[in-house]
Amino acid sequence: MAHETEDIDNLIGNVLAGEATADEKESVAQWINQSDHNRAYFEHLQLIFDKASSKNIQLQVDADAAWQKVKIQLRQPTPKEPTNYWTVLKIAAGIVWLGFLVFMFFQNRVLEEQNQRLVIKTDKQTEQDTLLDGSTAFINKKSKLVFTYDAKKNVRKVTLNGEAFFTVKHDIKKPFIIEAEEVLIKDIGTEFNVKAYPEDSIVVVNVSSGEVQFYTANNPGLHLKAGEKGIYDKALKAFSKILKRDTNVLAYKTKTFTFKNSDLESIVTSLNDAYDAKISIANEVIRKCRLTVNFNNDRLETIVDVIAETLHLSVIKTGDEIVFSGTGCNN
Amino acid sequence: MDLLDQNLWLGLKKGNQTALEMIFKTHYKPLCSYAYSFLNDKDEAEEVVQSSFISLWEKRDTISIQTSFKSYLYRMVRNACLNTIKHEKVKKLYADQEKLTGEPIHEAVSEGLLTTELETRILNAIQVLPEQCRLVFQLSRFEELKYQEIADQLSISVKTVENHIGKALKIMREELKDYLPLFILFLGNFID
Repeated sequence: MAHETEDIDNLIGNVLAGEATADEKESVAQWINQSDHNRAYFEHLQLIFDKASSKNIQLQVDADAAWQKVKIQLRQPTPKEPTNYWTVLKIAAGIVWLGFLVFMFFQNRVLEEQNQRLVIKTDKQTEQDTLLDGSTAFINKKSKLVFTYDAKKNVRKVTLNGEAFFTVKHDIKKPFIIEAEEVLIKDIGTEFNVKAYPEDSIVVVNVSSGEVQFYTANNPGLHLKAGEKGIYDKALKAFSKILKRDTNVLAYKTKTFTFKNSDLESIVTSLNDAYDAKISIANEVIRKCRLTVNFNNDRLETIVDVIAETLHLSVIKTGDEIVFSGTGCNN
Repeated sequence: MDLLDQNLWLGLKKGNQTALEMIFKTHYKPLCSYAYSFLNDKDEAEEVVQSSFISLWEKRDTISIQTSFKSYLYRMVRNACLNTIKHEKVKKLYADQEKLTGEPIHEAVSEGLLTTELETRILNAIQVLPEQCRLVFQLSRFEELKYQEIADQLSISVKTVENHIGKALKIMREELKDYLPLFILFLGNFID
């Protein structure tokens, strides 16, 4: 059967698209067998047809990052009453959603969808949270964190009252800036801790990895690298840098303490901070007792017992108050 | 619609963001590739797909799906792309270019593509097709619609769809003939 080339293109198209009739398939098969040229022509069209599909042509994109972008632009819906035609999956999804709402409620979070703003307030509990941009913050007690994303200026901004450890999802196009008291901290690809309680006289930044710029509007401040600690004195309006890292700075997050020849007084302070405990020392003479010990996510009772045992001290517990007493120690 | 899709769809209509997230993550990449075949620009393609999902979320109460969920998503992205092309300079650029050189623009589109050279060239060749012909070809190859479905959506006859596909293949072969392998192992099983 002879075909005009226009026709054969259509017929081959029909065959490739699975739209051909039996007659058309037969015609194409005969045409292919007429010559090698025809066969090659068919194969070329087949190759083009197969390759030009969504399976073969794939754009290199990051769906997770894109989702984060989309998510912050979604308006929060109001939850609806469940209806009786819900399937198991939908009930499960509903429970997840409800759980999420309950979680939000208890964590005192407010999502103000118009401003793309996330507010996290902690009181007696620490809290780990993922910010709207995918960065995470571990927030210490009695702290308040406000995350805003300014889509116009492309700036991620955190206002911090208190203490938090940040793991920033670095994005050079969207700087991540923390405003704590009067100082600013700008991430340069990083994990770092910021301690800025209003009642403290200093703001402290500890860098775990990467780099940050620690500065104010009028002072370029410090460039801090991993392992470095920057201190800003609010009264003097001055920065200072400490190269040796304070090993227990993240204890509130990890409950891991490394005490090396530390005196009881500072140990008690660290524990009180991390556990929100009320430990005190009865006798002046034992305040300077020294101790080298590590604790790794232990219960407070265990830690207190270990300390008392090691330094030969007595412990009196009344309610949640713990008092160390003793007549002195060997060292 | 299969059960999972149906559940996701109902979840979405109820305002469940997790459902939207699952839909998004499943279809984002192929939809971006599809958008790219229209817009020829990776950032623009991603932007179009993202804003399509945002508007899907906002309009979730009023949307009803006639066919399949997947084809709804593809149609949504396709329309957004066509609008982008219409409203933005792209169309004008094409028109100007065609007037000046008699040939559509023919730039390399390899950036950001996880494809071989041949596939990149095929994408280039798609850009060369006349507008309607190209749309029909994309509906067939990317949205995987049957001829009848394409005909219904574009209000043309099945015969016209057939002509466009044939023409598309012919033009693309012409564009690509220098890159196509001379001999291909013939599989022979294309006919039942």
